[in-house]
Amino acid sequence: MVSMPLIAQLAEPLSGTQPIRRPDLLVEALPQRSVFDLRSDKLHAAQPLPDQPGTCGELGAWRALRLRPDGWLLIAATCEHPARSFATAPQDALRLTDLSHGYACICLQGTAMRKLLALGTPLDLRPDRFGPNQCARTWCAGFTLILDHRADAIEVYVDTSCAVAFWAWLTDAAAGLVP
Amino acid sequence: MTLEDFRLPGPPGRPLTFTFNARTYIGREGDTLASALLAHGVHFVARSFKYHRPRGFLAAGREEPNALVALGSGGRVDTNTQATCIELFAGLEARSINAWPSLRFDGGALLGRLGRFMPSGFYYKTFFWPSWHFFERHIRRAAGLGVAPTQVDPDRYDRPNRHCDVLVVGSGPAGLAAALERGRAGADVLLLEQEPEPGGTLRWDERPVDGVAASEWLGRILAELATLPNVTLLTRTVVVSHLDHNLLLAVQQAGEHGESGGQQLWHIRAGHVILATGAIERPLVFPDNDRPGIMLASAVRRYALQYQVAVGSRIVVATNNDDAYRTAQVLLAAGIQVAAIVDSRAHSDSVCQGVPIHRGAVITRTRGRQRVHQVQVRTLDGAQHWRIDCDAVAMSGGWNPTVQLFCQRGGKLRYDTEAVAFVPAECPPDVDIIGAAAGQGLVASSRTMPLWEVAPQLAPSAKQWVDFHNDVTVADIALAALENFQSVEHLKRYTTLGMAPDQGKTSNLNGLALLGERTGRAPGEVGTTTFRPPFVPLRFGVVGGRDRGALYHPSRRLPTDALQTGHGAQMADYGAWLRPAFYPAAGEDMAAAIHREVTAVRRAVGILDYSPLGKIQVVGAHAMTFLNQIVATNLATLKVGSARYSLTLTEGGIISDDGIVSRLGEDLYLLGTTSGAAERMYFLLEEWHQREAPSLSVRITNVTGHWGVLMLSGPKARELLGRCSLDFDPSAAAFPHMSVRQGHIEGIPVRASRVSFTGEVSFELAVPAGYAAALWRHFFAMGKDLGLAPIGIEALDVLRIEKGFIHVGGETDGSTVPDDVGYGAMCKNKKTDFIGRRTLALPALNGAERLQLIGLKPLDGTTPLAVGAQLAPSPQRPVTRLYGHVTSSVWSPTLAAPVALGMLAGGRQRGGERLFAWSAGAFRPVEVVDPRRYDPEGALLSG
Repeated sequence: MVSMPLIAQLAEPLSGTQPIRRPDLLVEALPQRSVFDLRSDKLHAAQPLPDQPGTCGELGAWRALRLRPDGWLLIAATCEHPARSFATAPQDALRLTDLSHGYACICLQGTAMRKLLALGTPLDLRPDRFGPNQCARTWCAGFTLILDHRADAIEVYVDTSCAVAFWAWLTDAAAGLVP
Repeated sequence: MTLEDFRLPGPPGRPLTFTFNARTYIGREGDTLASALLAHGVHFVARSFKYHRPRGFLAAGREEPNALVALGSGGRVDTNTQATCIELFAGLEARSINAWPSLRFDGGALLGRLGRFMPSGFYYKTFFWPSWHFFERHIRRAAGLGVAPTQVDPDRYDRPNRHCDVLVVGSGPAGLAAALERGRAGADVLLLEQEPEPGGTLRWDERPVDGVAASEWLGRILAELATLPNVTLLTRTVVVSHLDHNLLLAVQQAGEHGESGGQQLWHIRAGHVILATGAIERPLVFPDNDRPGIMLASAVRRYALQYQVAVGSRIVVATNNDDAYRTAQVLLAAGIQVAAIVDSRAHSDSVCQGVPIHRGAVITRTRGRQRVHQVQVRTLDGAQHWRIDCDAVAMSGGWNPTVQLFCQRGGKLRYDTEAVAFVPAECPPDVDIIGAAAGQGLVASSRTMPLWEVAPQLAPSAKQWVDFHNDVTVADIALAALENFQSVEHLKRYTTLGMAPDQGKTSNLNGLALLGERTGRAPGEVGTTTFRPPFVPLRFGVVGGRDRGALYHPSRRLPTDALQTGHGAQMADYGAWLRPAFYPAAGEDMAAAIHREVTAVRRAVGILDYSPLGKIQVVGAHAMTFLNQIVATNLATLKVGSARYSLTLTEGGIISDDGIVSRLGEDLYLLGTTSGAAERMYFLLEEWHQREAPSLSVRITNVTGHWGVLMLSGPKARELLGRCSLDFDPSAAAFPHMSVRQGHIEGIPVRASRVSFTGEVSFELAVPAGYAAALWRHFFAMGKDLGLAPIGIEALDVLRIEKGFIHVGGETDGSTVPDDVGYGAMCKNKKTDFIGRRTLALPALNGAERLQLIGLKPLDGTTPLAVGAQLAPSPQRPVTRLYGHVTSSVWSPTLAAPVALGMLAGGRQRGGERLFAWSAGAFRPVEVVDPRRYDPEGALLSG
């Protein structure tokens, strides 16, 4: 009997969770993303990466989150290594570290998505303070999160080891949201 | 069921049936419990805290000190709740507290007769003989107010966050105007109101505002505010804390009509705060001023106008200011008899048509134990006196701006002699205080005469009550002054003035002014006590929020978590990680399971999910230089593919963490940390880089979560590993102890390390975390015949203790330096600087008598020593200085004996010495031995 190779046996902490659905809210775990930590203090002049802290930009298949002065988080649904996207950049000017297995991704959508997050995070989530193409590393109910505001959704990245506990918190929080 | 004999004519609200002390009443929608009871003429509702005196309603809002009741049942019991703030709802059941067996016939009332033996501070001077503990249980039973629930509170408590440009606290006229102004300007405004409806006094006081009737003005403002999407009004929301940077906490009652339910604790961050918190009326201090039926004049007015309730049928108004005259006029307009106005001001020109006014006079006595029925009045010169029958007294001693939140935020007060009150003086940045809270209108509207008590010559014997809640009298304050308590803070603690749930809202100024009179100081010189949050009491539930049950202490999960229960793991919390403690087979207890697991590692192979160990990646041209500044180990000679044990110290030279440093490439290092220290160490490195070494070219990344780590340990570990598809050589020659290899295992990227915490040949295999479970299953498929067994944290602890390896936080504490645990040479031999190096040179950290790591062997049998047992030279010689203690202790299956580690003064020179270990009253003989009880030379590790 040929068993599946181990490389095909990826286990994700939130696999098997059912989306949380309400008329004003949808919370669902997304399949594992490719997540790379990019560090460089020479790169941004040559590459179209977001320059302002807390902003996001697109770089081919990758979405770049500017989360620190000398670095970005690169996120994509692809398995491709991001080095290809920086092929023309001086290679000693950048460092890429694979963190893909370190984050679980949860997508929040709906008019109550800010209200849900506000139950745990002190971040200013008002639309004119945290809107599309903005990102933040923040704290929520004891969990460290990275928030990526897409067009009409907020993608939340949480440490894989905390994903189950954070999902439990989200479920409980959503249950108590007053419409 | 009684009739609402004291309900004034007006549109009747929807009737609501409720019970108080098991008696049924009818109230009206919109009532509070207090107004509903007063409509039935019920005044006697409580017993005071100390003397159990009969008490009635003093006020109509959050300043109420007397009428505390309990609501609800089971886990929803809400005790010590002010009846003046409970919104009436159908089916409400309330009961008095602090009275047994009943309110009317309370056994505690005997304490009132013993009052002369219980002045302030009496408990500091009594209950010494035979001992305090003899009295303690009786006092504890008598102390306190309500009874806390014993069942779990099922209600929900959230702690939502909110940001706004402007937060306005209070929706009276000043607050509404401010909210409207800021709202019209486009600011994001949050307006908070503690009552169920906005408007403050505008809801019952028809004095015109901007030339229109109050109700009409209120209607217009609210209508316009409702059109502004940038203005949010939250009612039933009381601000309890005003903290730095304009962070405010506010409790909002969930559910309408105050039905028992959860609450929310809003955490609000405001760009600007406008405090429109109004003012609170003070009571007058006169003899027996605490009887049921004696109330604040403004409360009497509010009950009449807002709730259509007459607090009595023949009311005396007592005052030292103009404002109480408004109460008299309101009562007359409602058809209630005002028996007299007693005005302490001899030359006041205030009038009230048809009501006798006794000017320059005070109340010197009241009569009526469970309801006032007469007052005695005397002029201040004592020349004239009257007895006046009544069934209620409306008293006013002046007004205090509500400045608690202002002061919490750092606002400064000054005493205004004209207003006879403390008013705001210096505002903190980004805070305004307006309206009555700022003292506006106090002088013009009140013309208050300072009057803090009735002179003893007018009322020689009766008690004059200052703090109704804690039964503090003028005599108590005089006693405190006599005993030389000068500071108002000492007055507070000695007499308990202002320490009750009402936090002295009605008593503070009277009390401090009385202290001032006794000590020759004006109130401004005495000052106020420090106002601290919360402004009103909070339920424990709202403080805890939803951090309950499984959410109280969320655990991190291993990458193999889903597989652990299949192995029968007993999971436990280890520093925020849920990890297997042991794996009991059928019929095994914990000890048997651990025995089996340890034996499996010593004779075959064990497997453990080691993922929680921290992994901090440091990469860059200066990676070695940078890390060498952090750790005490010398990394300059660490080759690519090698690993080295390291200690990280504090700047004080104390061991902070330990772990393995691996060199994965020319400029790529991995710093291992203990499982609880990953985040802390990552931040240490980041901070060090930014603060101390910004010129060094390094990048620091916490990769702990990305890598799942499985440890194989035991004499058959290599054989098991060799059964897997590898692209590196796992042989002893190619992969020696303390080295690291990168490659693939079964096609999965792996960083393999040969390090050991067990004393056996061990491989720590780090794979991307999502594949750890698959690899775990693969090892079990491959290793059954080798005796592969999962091992838990408890077995790991036994293995490392047998080996004599330290555990940071177990063998080390806040005083342990490397040399104490045998790593002195590591530091001495390192010539470059590192964190803590300088401090290690201090003589105090190098003394021969310092606590040093030892092994301990009990001499009296097979029972392991107690962890924490203190070491002593003999049972007869007491230990008077730091001598030693047991740090780790287990039964060793390998050695078939108890083994222990400890710290002993000068321990390294005391091998073979016999001592005693004391614990729980027993001395046990022990011998000092080498901590390395198993394979002391490390021969097995190198295999």
